[in-house]
Amino acid sequence: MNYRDPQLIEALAAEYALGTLQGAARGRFEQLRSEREDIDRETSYWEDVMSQLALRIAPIAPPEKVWQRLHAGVRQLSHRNDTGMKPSWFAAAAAVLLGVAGVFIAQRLDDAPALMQHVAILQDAEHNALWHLKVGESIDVRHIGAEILTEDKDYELWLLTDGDAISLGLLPESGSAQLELSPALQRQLDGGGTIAVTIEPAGGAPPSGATGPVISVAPLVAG
Amino acid sequence: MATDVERRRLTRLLHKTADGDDAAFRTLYERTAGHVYALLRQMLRAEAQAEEVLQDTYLAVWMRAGEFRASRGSAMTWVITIARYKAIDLIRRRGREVITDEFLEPAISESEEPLALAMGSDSAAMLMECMDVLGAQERRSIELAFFGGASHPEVAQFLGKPVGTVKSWIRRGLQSLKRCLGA
Repeated sequence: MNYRDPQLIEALAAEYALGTLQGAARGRFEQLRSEREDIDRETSYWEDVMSQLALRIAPIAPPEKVWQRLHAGVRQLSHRNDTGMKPSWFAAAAAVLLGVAGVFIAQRLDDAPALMQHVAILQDAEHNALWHLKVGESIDVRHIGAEILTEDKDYELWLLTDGDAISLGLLPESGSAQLELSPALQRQLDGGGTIAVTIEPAGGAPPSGATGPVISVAPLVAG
Repeated sequence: MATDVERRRLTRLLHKTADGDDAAFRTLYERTAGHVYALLRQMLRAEAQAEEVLQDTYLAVWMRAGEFRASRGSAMTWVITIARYKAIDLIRRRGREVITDEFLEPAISESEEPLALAMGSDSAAMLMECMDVLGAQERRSIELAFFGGASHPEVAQFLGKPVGTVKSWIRRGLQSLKRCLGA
């Protein structure tokens, strides 16, 4: 076939758009279309003609259930397409756990620097106390009841604020630990947000963000 | 002009859909699904099939909205084209009984509905005129293929003519259409 012949292209494009070009020929034409601008343009022209024909038909309102199924399907797809930390994913998880999340007590220590010292007990969904946190210039963590994970996993602490998720470090599975905070992070924590714990691969989440399940969430209330 | 306003509105909605804006997607659906569904009912006849393809169509719209190029055509055309190809695909895959008279007649109404006219006022009217001046056999063949999703053999069977004859009618009819439209 001489695919340079404009008349042939026109004929094929028209029949492709109409739907009468079928089978292997249709597949070949699709391939050609993806490679050739002129063929793509000609085909788009015919698709436009065909849709004008379609619009001659009086519209019929589709049943509501179609939209409902569609809407549900779209949400699932959005959820699966999320890679790493997207605020909506996290917010959803946080919202679920927030009702049973950590107890939060704020105390001002008079001789402390301008930063508030926040204290928190992180709990899981069953109200089991997991860690005790003291948040100031650094985060002092004391393990209470969090389960020991397998070698290939770690607990990671996050600050969620304004659609962003910032890693605060890994949490200990026994004893105590201190998580260092940059001055910027200190300020940010002082300003409040939400803290959360996920289970990540050993060493913490990849650069793209949190990958694992959220096991605890607590609000950080400033002042 | 109403045409341009609506066209731009749908383009914007489709672009926002590509960004994951599900409110825009809903609005796009509300403004276009009626036409798509009507076409699918015409082509597929069975309500359940029409609903199924409608759902698949808009799912594809959601997932592939980023592929839409306003320079190539309107958002309405883009959506209708996805629907038509899916319907034809379904017809070919599932097979069907011999097509009958009803494939030509009902549900083809000369719609005065404002949106339809707004979609391409001048071109829609011109298309109707150009279809009317086609030879009767050519017009019927094209309409069967289009509104019935019929293949060459199906059109040939319905009209009681050889496949080769039908192919010529369709090809000539389309050529005449393009000349008439002045593209």
